[in-house]
Amino acid sequence: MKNLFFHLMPYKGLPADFDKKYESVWVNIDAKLYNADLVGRSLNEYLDQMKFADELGFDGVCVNEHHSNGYAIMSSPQMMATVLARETKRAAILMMGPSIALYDPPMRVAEDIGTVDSMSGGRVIAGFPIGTPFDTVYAYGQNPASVRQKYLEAHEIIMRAWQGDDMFAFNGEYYKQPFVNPFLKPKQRPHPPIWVPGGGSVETWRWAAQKNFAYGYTSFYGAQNSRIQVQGFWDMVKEAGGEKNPFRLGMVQFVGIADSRKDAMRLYREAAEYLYNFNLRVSPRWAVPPGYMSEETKRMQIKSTMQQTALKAVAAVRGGGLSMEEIVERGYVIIGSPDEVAEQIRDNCIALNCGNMMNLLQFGNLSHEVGMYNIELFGRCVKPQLDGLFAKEWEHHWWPDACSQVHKPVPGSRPAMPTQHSAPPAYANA
Amino acid sequence: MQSTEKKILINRSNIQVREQGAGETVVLLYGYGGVPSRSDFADQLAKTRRVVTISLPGQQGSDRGHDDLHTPLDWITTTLDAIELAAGAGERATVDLVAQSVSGMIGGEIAAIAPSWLRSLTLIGPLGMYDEAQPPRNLYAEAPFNRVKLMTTRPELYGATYGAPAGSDDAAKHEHDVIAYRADEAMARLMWPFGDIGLKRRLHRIRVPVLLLWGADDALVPPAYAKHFAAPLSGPVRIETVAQAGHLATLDAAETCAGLVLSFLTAKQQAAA
Repeated sequence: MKNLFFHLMPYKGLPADFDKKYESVWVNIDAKLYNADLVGRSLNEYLDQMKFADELGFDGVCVNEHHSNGYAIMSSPQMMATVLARETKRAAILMMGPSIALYDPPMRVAEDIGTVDSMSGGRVIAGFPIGTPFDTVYAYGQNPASVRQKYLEAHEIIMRAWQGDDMFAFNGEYYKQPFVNPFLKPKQRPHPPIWVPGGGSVETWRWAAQKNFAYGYTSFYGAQNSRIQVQGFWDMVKEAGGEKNPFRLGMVQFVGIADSRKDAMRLYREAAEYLYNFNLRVSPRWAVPPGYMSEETKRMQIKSTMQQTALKAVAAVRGGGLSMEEIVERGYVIIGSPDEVAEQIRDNCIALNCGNMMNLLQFGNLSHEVGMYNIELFGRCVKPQLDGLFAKEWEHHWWPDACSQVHKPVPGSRPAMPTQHSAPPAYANA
Repeated sequence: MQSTEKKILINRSNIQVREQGAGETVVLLYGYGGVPSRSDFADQLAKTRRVVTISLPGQQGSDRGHDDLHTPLDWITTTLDAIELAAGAGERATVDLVAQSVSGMIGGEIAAIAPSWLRSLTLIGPLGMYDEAQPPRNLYAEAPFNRVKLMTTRPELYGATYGAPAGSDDAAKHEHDVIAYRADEAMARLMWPFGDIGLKRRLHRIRVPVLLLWGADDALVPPAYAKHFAAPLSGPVRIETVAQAGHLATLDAAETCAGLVLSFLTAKQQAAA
């Protein structure tokens, strides 16, 4: 299987009373909480971590796009991916963004991804998210009832440009471009592998299945809450006549590793509680603009008791007050010794038939030192235990050829456990 | 009151038309919340008028025609087609148009673009203007559980009028929720994000008599907007504010609103005579 290092690039400067004094970490996060020095330092540390993951043999590194957001300060995945194209040597670069409906003309995205793919020697995986309603509808003002139609048009332009060598005119409802010139294109032909990230909408499952794309389920609420969503995708793959190849599915998972489970509880407690009580404190105002979710998905949500349970789990997080014990018990964060973590990931991947795990190893207000430790333990001690999973039975058709080899970590020994748990509180409003 | 319903086909999509009463034709358009299953306001008007309620594309009873409406002009021409087919408007003024909430922005456009179609225009808590000092509140940027409270001063009445019929089983209730969601989707598609599509540049073209009716407690479009609408108009204008009524004033104070509309229509008739 493939193990990727997924980075949200979280903001560590939320105050200790954030859950009591502030409505939301997203869309209307209080701009006065922003600390440019902290962001500058954090982003450099985060890029160092991704470079380190590449050296440790991670199969891929992931970037994504969010706006007006305190759990993710990566507004432009293109910018970060460009840095990674130079700073990394072997890992695939999974671009879970940009949200293509946000950019006019979409050729900007086609050219940016093409540039990163060329710079990296053909290591890009193109993720084409519709984008969350928080980002697209509220932070960037897109119409919720037409953003999906716009997305499909944008996708059509990009794919036509990547797959051909001739200029063409595009006359859509949302985009009108008389001279689309595919001059600047990716190294990978006809195009990089495509993963479609999604949060569980029926149309996205169907579309990804019909187009033979991989699907990346981006839930922060653990494998148990993901079952119905994942099954929905596999049902659509079957309907489209596709194989249940586990490499067509990716999932995200927060992970905290230490010498023992007890140590991990201690080492990651503050960061995990910061993550779920501060970083994911999102106002319900921004969750359900009409039309963003299709009628078909709405029907499924209303009728499915499992879906209702999953939604309640998300709502409970919005309510705040989650303890580390609850977070771990629900599987939101997998913790333990390397062997214990490897076992849990393996079990989840087998249960959900998932061949790509996007591991979130730097989360909440975790200090850089602990983040590096977590990444190193994963690379040296967890990943090697999982590399062979699904590899004999299935071929990975959604992976760049340039990254097909499994790499070993750079030489080194297992790291010593750090003593510092989280970012110094002085970060807030420093 | 007895009513009949029929479908008319516009751009390969069915539009629902509900008709009741007899007399001169009043066309009703609804906005946030969509078209209620019954309306005391419409019943009152229908005592002396032929009331034609048009469900805009996506609203209750109509198909998902809004998927094919990409620009404000698409909405305006579709609504014009619906009025023409449903109410018989055309070359001469035969219709008194009453447009509420989100549909008010379309009502204003129709009166500006096709002035010969209408005898009068009544706008009730309309969207369509934007005052930076007092921006309209975007209903869909509020938590779903707060939306009803922001629309009406009488939430219990909203449930009885817009909710699933009493005695519905779970399946019927679920379907009702989906239909309500579709109506919200259609309105979001039309108004996102402010409902301002430049009507202020065309209001001076409106020469028919206009009634601007506002719920005094409108939490979405403040009653102060009445003066923004009134100032550029070229014809006679009357402004009325209804006490203890919110954005859905015709729900909160049906009789008062109907009385004011009928009084306006009668006065206009007398003036014309």
